[in-house]
Amino acid sequence: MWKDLTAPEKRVVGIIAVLLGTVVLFSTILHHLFPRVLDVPSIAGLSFTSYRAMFLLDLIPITLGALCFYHAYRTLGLYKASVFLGGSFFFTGLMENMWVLMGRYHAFSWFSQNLDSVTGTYYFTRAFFWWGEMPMVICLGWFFIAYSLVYMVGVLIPRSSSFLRAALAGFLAMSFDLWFDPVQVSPLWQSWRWLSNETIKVFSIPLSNFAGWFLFIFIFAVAFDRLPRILEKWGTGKGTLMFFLTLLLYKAGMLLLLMTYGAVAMKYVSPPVNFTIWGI
Amino acid sequence: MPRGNGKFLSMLPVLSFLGYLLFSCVICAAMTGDARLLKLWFVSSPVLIAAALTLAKIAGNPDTGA
Repeated sequence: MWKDLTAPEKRVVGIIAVLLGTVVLFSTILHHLFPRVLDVPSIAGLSFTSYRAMFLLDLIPITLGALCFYHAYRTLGLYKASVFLGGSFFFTGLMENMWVLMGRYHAFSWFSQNLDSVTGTYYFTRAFFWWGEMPMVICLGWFFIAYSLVYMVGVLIPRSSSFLRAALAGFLAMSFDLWFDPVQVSPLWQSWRWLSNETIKVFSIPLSNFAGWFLFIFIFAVAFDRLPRILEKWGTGKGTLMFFLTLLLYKAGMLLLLMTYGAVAMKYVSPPVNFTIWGI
Repeated sequence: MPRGNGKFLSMLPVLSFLGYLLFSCVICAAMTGDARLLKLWFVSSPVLIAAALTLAKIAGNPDTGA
């Protein structure tokens, strides 16, 4: 409950709530009313793109996310539940926005000349609520998928090391996406569109996407597991800031890792490889 | 720290995840009319097995979870 929180915890929860709400409101208005600002690609001809359909489709993950948030609130308390939610949005939201926008504006060459020929990354097509250039429900999906998988692994192997639990959660997330991604990019849905000419693909989807799923969940689970120690050392206010700065550091590391992989793969893997089943 | 009781609360994250999988993979794949996408379910069997084991463990001992 709100009244059970300390004053610094209230401040953190309030800041996270205001920031999330403001960014979603601003991004949603920008995306729908001023698409030229960020060169939003056309989605003409795509199914389920009326505002009503997009709103109803958004409601499903919002409901499931709310259930997970309720569980987090009841078991971890409002402060940690909010940090998990805010951290998920901050960690995955910023990272995916960077990928989308770096692909859109061909901003990879600065890292390596091997990436000069990259044709883009991907972009999201439909959503009512937005978080930058990614649907708000994708961020929310990251929250409740991360939360559910970390919880499941905690139930299954509670006495294992945090690294092993985080790695298993990452592996389970990746196994989920191996089905999820091909369905969502199928011609009917096209929830996002891949533009990448990455040289190694699985089910016609860049391998780095699946590596990203593992890394997102693994890194976030490790970081969240260390939150109590950070809070103990720095206190609530500074500790929360340190937690988010740690996420930022991990995010930079993950970006460098994936771009290094991309530069190596673009140079040495030729012709491109695509591991498919039944032509998918 | 607040502590929840009962099997349902303990199962809530797993049920939420399975609900999302049901919608975003099963229903969405069925709506495409492409049987290959439904047959692809086996690539997610590790997470399906983990979810089933978690539910079974919680059902056997509700204090395991929340």
